[in-house]
Amino acid sequence: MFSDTKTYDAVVVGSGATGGWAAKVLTEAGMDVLMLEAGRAFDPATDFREHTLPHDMELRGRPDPRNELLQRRHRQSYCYACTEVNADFFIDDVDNPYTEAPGTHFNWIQGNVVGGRSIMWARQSYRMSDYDFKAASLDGYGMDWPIGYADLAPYYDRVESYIGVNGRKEGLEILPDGEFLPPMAFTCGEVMLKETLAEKFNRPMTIGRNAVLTRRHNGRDMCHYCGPCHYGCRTNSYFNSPQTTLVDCEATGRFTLVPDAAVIKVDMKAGDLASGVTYVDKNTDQTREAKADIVVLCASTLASTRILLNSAEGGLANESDCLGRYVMDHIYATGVRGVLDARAGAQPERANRPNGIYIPRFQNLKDPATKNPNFIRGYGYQGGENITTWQHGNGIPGFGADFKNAVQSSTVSTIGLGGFGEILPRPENRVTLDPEVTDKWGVPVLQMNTTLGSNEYAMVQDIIEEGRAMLEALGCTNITQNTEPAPLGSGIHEVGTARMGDDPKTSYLNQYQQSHKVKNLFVMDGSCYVSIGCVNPTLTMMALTLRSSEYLLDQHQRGELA
Amino acid sequence: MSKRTTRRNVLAAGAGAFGYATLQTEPIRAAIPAVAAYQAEGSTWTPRLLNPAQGELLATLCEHILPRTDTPGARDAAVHEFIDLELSLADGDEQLAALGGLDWIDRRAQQLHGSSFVGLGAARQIDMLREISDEHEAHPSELVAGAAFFSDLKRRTLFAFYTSKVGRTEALGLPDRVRVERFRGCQD
Repeated sequence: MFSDTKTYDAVVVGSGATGGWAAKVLTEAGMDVLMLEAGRAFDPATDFREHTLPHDMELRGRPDPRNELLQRRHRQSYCYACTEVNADFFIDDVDNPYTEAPGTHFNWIQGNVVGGRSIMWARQSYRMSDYDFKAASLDGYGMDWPIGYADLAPYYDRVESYIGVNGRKEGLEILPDGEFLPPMAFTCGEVMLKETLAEKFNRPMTIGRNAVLTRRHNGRDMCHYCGPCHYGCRTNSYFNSPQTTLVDCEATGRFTLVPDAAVIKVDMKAGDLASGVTYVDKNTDQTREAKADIVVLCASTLASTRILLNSAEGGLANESDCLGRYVMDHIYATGVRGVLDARAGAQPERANRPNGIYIPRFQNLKDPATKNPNFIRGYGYQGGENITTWQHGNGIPGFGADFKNAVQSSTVSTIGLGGFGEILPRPENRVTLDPEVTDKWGVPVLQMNTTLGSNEYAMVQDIIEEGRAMLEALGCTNITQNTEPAPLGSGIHEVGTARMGDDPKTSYLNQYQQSHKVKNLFVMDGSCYVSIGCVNPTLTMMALTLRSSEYLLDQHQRGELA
Repeated sequence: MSKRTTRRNVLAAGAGAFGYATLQTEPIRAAIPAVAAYQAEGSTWTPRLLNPAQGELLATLCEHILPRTDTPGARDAAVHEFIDLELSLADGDEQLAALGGLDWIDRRAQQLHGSSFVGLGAARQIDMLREISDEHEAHPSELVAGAAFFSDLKRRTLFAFYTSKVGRTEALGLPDRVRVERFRGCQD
């Protein structure tokens, strides 16, 4: 039970992918840890509904205007993973608003459950490389990370070994290999694409690397290929914190998790030290304080930054003026799709592979031949083959018995390629506190002020052109494209806003995600990103958290954090 | 004291293993209709948006699009009930377009044959639908409205039929529940 008179060794704010790792390291080393989670508790036996089929739902999965939970998630339902099946995994937009600067748009997708977005994430797990950590040195834009790939590699190894990541080793410098479980298989259309890319473009393609178990691993069952992992998984076959790291925390007997506890601010004491946090108990709407010797924010990038902005005028310990700046995400939603006639009539598998293909970044690498003069950095493609079961009926003329027979005796194969591009860290892409708007509990909310720049738009154009060229070379027809990138946040890879660095004048955190000024304050989520690269960020966030948590432990044991 | 820790007891409501178990929120999911199975019962159906005559006209049209063959048809899958439900929740423009389309069909039947559409024999019904079907690339101006309605109805019928339990299991031959599978991938 939580006690507001006790001083915990550490308070961890947020129970998602990174919070789980921080608490695991600290509790297993003997520290007494309080974890505050703004979302609700849940029970997998009843809340995980991954086997819901369309006919189980009155509107077959289409948005139901009578569903109040969904109506209160009008922003969250932008995300493909937020449906009537699991709307209550996502935050209530009415109680938790945010605003956007005039003329800008931002999609902020947030969890509302123990485990946070590790419950609904897309599980793609790639390592960043020194093309990412040292990008500024390579092209002169922005700032290098204070660490390099070699610093993080051992932690990637340990995180992958624990959570279980499937994949195929490719030996690519741009996409370092990891400790993989057996890879998932390609479909035949994907094999054709891979061969086309190798023969005509000299580009590698690999199966997606994702945190789903392709064999039994660490006491968890292998995937049974039902498909929608974002509805939960009663066999524990993908990584989320409540079924892994939080279990380990609880086993230590030194762990107290309080859900429905939305942290407002970090409390301070003399000597530029944090003394704990103040939070709203959402069950009673009362404000409470939690005392701890060390404060670790893992609330997710923008939520942690909001807490820091609300903790002091101008933001807590914000002498660098970095707090809230350099918001990044990935270019999202642009790409191409085409019909692969050579695979017409192919039978779809009943098994739903919760994964796709990956084409690593192939431009602006060390080989001068890969230089693209129109933009710096690069993008990768995620996608794969889709085989329709009946949807192609909309393209078959006529009606009646012959029509029905035609629908049921044919299939259509399409290949889709979606670009995930690096968005540059620009100081003017920032979040601030809205001077007027507060949430249900009277706490100032964030105002987002972000736009895509010319480098991003040049990349979008290239994503489309190269995507078309690859699909045409494969023999696809009826190629369609989406040239309009989604607003920032839509990739749900938002990072930055408290970047790390060696110089307190130009960074908020040091390389161990520790505040330069408040030495017992750590921000161990995506806030620390200096540049985003083009791969999905959660694996890197977890590796960073593991590294920083062990540093925290070492410093704590030496008495350096008091 | 060593206490066996399982994922189940860590997360279970009321398990007491966690500090948070006592703070668990009330069951929000009671408000979610998500997993309540939807079972059509044609004999007791009461249309929500349509009147009974429009409901029968809709059912007749859907059955012409996906008729019962060696597998069930649209009426067996209560496609018309789903479309009526969906339309009852749609905005006014969408409702007007659908109601206007049904009315167009009956007016055309009166114009050609002096009868409601449902009152015609199957052959005449099919002939009427053939002239507004998408097997023609273009339609004469007096048929454009009817063709647009029929195209929309075809799209609705496909979705409603193949996402129904009957459509999924008997027409597509898929299991009615999720089963444990292995993904085989390309075996060529």
